[in-house]
Amino acid sequence: MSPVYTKEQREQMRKILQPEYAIGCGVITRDEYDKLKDEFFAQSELSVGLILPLILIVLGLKLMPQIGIEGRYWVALCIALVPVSAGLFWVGMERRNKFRLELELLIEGNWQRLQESKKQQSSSTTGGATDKIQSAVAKAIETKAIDKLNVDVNVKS
Amino acid sequence: MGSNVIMPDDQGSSRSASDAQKGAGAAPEGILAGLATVFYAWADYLSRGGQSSQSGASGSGGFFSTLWRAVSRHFELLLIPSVLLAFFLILTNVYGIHVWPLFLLTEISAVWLGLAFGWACIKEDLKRVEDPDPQDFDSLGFFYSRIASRSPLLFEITTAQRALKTRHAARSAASRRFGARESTPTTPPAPRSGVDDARDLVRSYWEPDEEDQPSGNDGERKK
Repeated sequence: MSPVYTKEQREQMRKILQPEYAIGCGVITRDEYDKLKDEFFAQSELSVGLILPLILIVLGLKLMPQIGIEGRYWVALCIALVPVSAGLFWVGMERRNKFRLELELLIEGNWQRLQESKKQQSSSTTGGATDKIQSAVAKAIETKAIDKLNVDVNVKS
Repeated sequence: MGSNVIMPDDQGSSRSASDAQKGAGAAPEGILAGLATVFYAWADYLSRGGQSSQSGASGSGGFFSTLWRAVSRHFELLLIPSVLLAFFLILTNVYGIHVWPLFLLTEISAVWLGLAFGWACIKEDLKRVEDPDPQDFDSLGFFYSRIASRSPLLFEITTAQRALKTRHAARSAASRRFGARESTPTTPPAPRSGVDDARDLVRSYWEPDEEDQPSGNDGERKK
């Protein structure tokens, strides 16, 4: 289950989802960011970057006298370029979206962990103060009891 | 560019003439099919009064119906590259003008058309989140359903801008409709958009019911 966030936390989260800001705040490391970038964003760049070589390959096929695509094959090749480039573009955008999603999930998870540890730290600090007070009270009671005991002993003697 | 851009060719004009004859017989099938598709989409576009996108439900359907919806709704994106592609194909194939810049321009217009088509498909997919009364995550579209199934907070953040746009559009439409009635002092409540319905769906999926709280199964998602 996802935790329920306050409005302030949501606003902070919105800000912290920027990767550079998250790295600066120490929510994620540069290595984690680079790792995700090398995996998903590189796939996106690769897919979109294939479009230009595709154009050049088709142009080469058309211009090479040994192959020299003509007539209906040239029309078919040009029409086939439409879905192929659309597919490459779609895959590129999908991978880019995946990269953003994974990055934001990483930031959210780390940020949530930080919030929880901060909460625990603050509660343990409060718990320590209570312990100190308790021990001081116990010590005072003990001292008083010993004094009383001393008095009793004196009276008897 | 001068005459030096013409492909060096030993056969010269005789080859071009034969290609022109060959192309004139070969091209029409592909080109006419493409033109027929474009004109059919244009007719569909005009039949909706030039509305590039319908408001409200985009509905669901098969793969090809989704593609067709993307074509018909974003027709203005696809029109220029389609016309350019047909024009250059006719020039290079029917009229047999064998100049490499024309080939390159034909390919570029084909790729332009492909990119526009891909962009239209993505826009159409992202628009599905605005459907009122979504039934499940699949009805939110491919991209948003993936976000919603991973994190409701990220879903809320990513749809925030879209909801603002929807609300702004609804408010401006309402103000246009009721603009003349200045006498009404009270402002109408903010219209509820389809994105709000989507958020409710995601929240109901992720957040436990009130009565489920003490059961100790907080860590599990509601099925």
